[in-house]
Amino acid sequence: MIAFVLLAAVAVGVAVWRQVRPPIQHPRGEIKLYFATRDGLYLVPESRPLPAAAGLTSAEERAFFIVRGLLAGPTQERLVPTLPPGTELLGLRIEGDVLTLDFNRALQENHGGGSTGELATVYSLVNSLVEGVPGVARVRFLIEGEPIETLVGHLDLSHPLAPDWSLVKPSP
Amino acid sequence: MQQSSFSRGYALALLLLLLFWLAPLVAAAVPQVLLNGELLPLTPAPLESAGSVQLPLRALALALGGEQAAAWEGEVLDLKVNGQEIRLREGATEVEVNGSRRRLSAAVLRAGEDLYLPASLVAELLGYRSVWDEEKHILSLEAPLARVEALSYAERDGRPGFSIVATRPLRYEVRSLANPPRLVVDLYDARLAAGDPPVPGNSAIRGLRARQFAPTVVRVVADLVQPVSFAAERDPARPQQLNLRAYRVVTRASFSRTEGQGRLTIQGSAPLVYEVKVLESPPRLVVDLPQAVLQAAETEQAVDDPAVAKVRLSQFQPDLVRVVLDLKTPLSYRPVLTEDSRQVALELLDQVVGLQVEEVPGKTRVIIETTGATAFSALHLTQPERLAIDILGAAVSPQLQPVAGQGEGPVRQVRAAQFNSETARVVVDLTHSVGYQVVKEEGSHRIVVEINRSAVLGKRIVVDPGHGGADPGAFGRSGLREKDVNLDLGRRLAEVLQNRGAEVFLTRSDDTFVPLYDRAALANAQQGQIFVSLHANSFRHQYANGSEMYYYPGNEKAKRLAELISDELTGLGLANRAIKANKEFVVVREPKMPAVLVEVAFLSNPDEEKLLADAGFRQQAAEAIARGIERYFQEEGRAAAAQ
Ligand SMILES: [Zn+2]
Repeated sequence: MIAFVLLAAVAVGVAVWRQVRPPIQHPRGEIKLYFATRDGLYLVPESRPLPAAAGLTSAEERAFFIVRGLLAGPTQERLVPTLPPGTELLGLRIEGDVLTLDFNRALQENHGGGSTGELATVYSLVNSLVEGVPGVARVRFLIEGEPIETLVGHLDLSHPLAPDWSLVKPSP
Repeated sequence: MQQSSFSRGYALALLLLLLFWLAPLVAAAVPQVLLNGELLPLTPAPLESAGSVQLPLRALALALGGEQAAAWEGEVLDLKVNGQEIRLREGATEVEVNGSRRRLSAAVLRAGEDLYLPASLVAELLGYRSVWDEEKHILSLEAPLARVEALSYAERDGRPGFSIVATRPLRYEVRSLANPPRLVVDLYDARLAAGDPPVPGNSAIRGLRARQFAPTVVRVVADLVQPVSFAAERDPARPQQLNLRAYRVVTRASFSRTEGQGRLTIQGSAPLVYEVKVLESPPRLVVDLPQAVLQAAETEQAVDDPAVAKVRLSQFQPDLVRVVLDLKTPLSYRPVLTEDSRQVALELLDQVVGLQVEEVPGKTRVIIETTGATAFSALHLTQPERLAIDILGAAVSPQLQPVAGQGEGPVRQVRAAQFNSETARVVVDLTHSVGYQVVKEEGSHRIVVEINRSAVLGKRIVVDPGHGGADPGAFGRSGLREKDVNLDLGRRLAEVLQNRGAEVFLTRSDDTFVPLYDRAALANAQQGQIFVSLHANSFRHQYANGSEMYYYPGNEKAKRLAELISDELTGLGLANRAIKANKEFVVVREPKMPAVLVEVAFLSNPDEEKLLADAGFRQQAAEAIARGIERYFQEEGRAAAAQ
């Protein structure tokens, strides 16, 4: 079993368990965070400039930056946060093309439920991370280090999930 | 022949002997007969011998009012004396009185053209007292006479007539005479003390006349308006009163059919008494009307009817009219009252003669064949599910057997029974609740029950109420729990589908937690044909509303099912959100059958939470989803038929 490095706090930084992987050269200096429209029908991206900090060149640091951005919520009024209040990222790691996220119980317990709600939460993460972290194709969810069958009773979270781009609102 | 000539010879010898023996007596004094003190002229005269008197019967009959001299029939003399029928044979030692035999102490004498019986016997037969005065040669007969005290016109039960009141019950005889039509009533041992009633009489009688026709016979003559028979009877309450009532006149009998109801109508001049017999081989209905005479213009009438061939009328007996309804099939009847009390109306109880179940595309037809009746009322009954079609004015043919339905339903069997004396009930036993209509088939005597065969009939449908137990699902602001909404919706949907003949399997039927993969596994184990997961949605923002469906990408059947359910839910006024394909919904990916997840509406939307909290809405939603499923299977059926 590969040990996880727990994060003391999201704000302080993230200690990343590193695998042997090539350094990431992201072509642009920004990433997209997918938030939900108010009607819950779509995911809509918001861009965030990547800070010039050196650590963000690694895949894990980019992933952490993305999750932190999603936890912070959208800047636009027309968009809605997708992660429940109180959610904390406890750790993340990348194995091959799978990024594993470990959240605290709030992700599940504070979730309002519903297929629409579950899709928004799961795919705002998966879509944002797969698009924003080179080499990551799928995302696995853990709660306090344990695998889960589902988040709130609809989606199968027992295995890594690929993004669902059909949820993204086509550009006008 | 020999015996006859011997008898004749014997009679001749006896006669000669008698003449020889009686000759001296005849030469002597001739006995006279007094009846109630008055001389009764008899020719020939009575014979007297050895202290007794023999009376000439033929002469006596004439003297007591006999219409004509009695005739000889060979050696037999039939005569009527004072209303009594007497048959005599010369030399016989017995006499027949009103059909019964009396032995005689001596043989019947003959002298000339008359036969003689002892006066004491004659008096006894007539009910008279007799005293023989040997010295005066006078026979005194005392007849106890009833006094006829009143004659009056009468009308009872619509039948005109008249009454005769006497001091004692009367012995009487009634005859009808023609030209002019009149009724003659002879009253025996009667003495007239009444005057004629004033004319005119009533609708049947012009007038009444009475006279002392013979010493002991009063004759009453009723002059009639038209020739009609009369019934005579002693008044049940006053036997000394004799009532005569005109027979009913039957003028018409006809058969008609109105709105499927066949009716025989017999028209009379007065309220008719009747008796009906249902006869077979050939089938016919016979109506006998006693104390009735036929005066109909038409005595036979062909009928163009599925059940009836002819109406016939006849004077079956002098006092009995018979109406016969010739039937094409044995039928019963029921009497009905009409406004005209002089009518007899019999409604034919047509028969239910055939039951048939027929499968046509989308429908099962139950065909009820009758002999004519097509008036019906239909009922939908439950527990068990069945339709009852009451056919008015019909009886169930005894030959009728129940018919089984075909295939998987919805008709289990069709049976018929007599619901009451006037109604036949056809029961269609169903496998489940159905939509139906009952129609009369034009130009026939068939009632057709058209039962819509549901497209879900016999289909295996898995209904999956989401969440449950430890997993409450979403919450509404008021605290309404998704798992409770889902379970209620699931139960309702299951019932609706079951009522249409589907085989429904619920992944949970109570508040228990069932893991997602287990739900799919249960569905697969049940070999369901479709899988419908029921949920109530939720989103962070209360603005979100409407119905949303999910299916597995590429599963076109599931997509179509989702579209149809969405279409029906939208019909309830719910916003049509989206039908989404996603690979990660366990319950749409894992079942080996077209599967959809239905988010009916948003618990997180206050308006929709109110709807979901309402049982009426949940029923509507369940029915809408069922309609979507029904349409899905209809399309499937059409596609299968097209191949
Ligand atoms: Zn749900």
